[in-house]
Amino acid sequence: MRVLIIEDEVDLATSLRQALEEEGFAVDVAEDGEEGLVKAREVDYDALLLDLMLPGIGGLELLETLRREGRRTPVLVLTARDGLEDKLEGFERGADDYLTKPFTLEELVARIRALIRRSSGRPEALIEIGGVQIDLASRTVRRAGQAVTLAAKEYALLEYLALHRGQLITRAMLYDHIYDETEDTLSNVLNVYVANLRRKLGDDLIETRRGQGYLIPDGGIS
Amino acid sequence: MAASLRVRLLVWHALIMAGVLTAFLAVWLHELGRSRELRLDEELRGHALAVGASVERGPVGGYELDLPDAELDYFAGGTNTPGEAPYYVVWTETGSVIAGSTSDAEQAPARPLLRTRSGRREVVIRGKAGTLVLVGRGASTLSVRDLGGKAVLAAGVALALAFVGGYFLTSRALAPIDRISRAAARISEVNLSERIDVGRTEAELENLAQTLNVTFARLHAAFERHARFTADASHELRTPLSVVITQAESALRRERQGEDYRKALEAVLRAGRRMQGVVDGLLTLARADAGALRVEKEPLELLELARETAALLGKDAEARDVRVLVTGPETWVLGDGHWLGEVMGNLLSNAIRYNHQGGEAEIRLAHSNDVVVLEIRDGGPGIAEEDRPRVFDRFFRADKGRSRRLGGSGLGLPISKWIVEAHGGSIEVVSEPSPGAVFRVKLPGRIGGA
Repeated sequence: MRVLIIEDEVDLATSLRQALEEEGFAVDVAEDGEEGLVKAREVDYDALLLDLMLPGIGGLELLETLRREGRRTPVLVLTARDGLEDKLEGFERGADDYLTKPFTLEELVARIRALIRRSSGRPEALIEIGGVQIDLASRTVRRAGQAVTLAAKEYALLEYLALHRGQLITRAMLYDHIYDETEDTLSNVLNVYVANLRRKLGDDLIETRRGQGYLIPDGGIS
Repeated sequence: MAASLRVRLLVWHALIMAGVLTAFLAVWLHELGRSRELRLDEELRGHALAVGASVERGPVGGYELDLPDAELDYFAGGTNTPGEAPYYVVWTETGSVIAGSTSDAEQAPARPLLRTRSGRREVVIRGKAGTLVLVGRGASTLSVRDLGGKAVLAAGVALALAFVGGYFLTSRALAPIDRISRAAARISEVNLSERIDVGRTEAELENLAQTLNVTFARLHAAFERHARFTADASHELRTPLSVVITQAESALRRERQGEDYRKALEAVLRAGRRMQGVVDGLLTLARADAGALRVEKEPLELLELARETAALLGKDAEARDVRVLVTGPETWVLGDGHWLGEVMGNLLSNAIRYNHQGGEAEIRLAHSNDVVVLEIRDGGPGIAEEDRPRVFDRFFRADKGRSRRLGGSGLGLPISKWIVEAHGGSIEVVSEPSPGAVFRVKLPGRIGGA
């Protein structure tokens, strides 16, 4: 999953980035409204973390603009203002969730994940496909009851395919959603991850559509 | 209990009515009594004359009284109330009784007169041949007591009616006041942005309604200002607080290298210092607001203070490659060195912060008449026209992102304004053709040496 943090407090943005990366997210940061708008238009982020008090274009204006342009990316608003009017206005302009500062990282991560699951149309955290159980909340995978260890990017890839199961995901989309803007990738690294996943979780889990991409078939839901 | 306006009005109204009625009744009854008396005297006199004219010399000398029938009737008392029958006595010049209708042997009066004796009114005149004629009757008809009794009763009823009428009148008169006070109570409880409808108010109460409306407006504005200030203060503190918490949480999530911990701690320290600035500023303002801050004035030389301030901020200036100048003559004021130093420090550090690299910041002193002028100028981007009126508002930021990054607390200018005004001076942002901001402080001063 790839998220964009739009926050002008540098010290806060850097520690959020670090924490989210360690949670398996690909993270980009924008330091003001304009930069945030440009990036949000360029990339299909899985979630936006938006601070309201931004220099230049304010957070609310940015949000309104994105919604007006048809962007349905889930937005979690972060702000030090806890007034009711601020909250209501945030929701009115299109925010999906709201956290007042200071917040705990644990809550932030849980809410982001819930937002992303919900926007994919499948809000439940537990997925069962074939004999494979994926717990999206705790980021654990079991095969026939046994825990399976995955590398960070392997899990990220699996997570994305699982959340969009039944949909064909192109390689470009996969790149866009498991790497941030700073990471250079080798074009065949995806093949390696997919091969590893098949080895660990069985060949049937991920289907390849030659020349198009990958998909996880829509199996039973636990 | 508070004195009641209505009760007071009613009491006064009743007293006045009672006074008027009493005076009227007294005069009327008095006049009535007098006129009755006069009438009775006329009557008695008339009959006395008739009696006096009826005196005749007797056949054997002496005198006789030959009363006409009318007089006989009169004195027979047929038409009069019992016990009130008129009577007469006739004496000779020498005081011996000639005739009389009463058996009361009375002393002859000395001469003609009018008198009241034991409840009877008597008239004495000279009749024919030097006789003295006395006619009298009971004077109980003179008494106005019966009428007086009825009159007082009637007055009592009138007073009662007046009281009742007065009650309704005062109710109607006081009703608008009650209406206004109810409207005011509702406004102050429910919604301070509402106002009393002055158009529907009586002329005398218009002033009251308008004054109340003005008061509501001021209260409303004060509450809004306070709410905004609280929201701003909360925001200014929560932001660095969230840095502290998130940095610490993140650092503690897993085992890290020393370098990572160091960076986290540095970020925490930066945030902590920012909070310190805000908290100090808030405390100063809170004390100033409560009147608990004292400005201690003593002779103070500003040029030296300016130089000290410039020296204190030397490192910051160097870091931003800004040149600091101090110009002007030796200038003395009566002031608090600590607080005026804060003002200079705050203005100068703004001038350094909001400046270009390689720019200039100047502290310029001047005095004319009894006013000392302290100007702090910078060559930076200046302050936009529309922001100037609000520049001394608490937590106002012309450019939110920039000033926060540069470490401002948003309270420096409001505090400086308070300090300058506590010295009897003024502070303003000045418009000048050249770019950059100019803050002008005026203080009452003394020219020359101490």
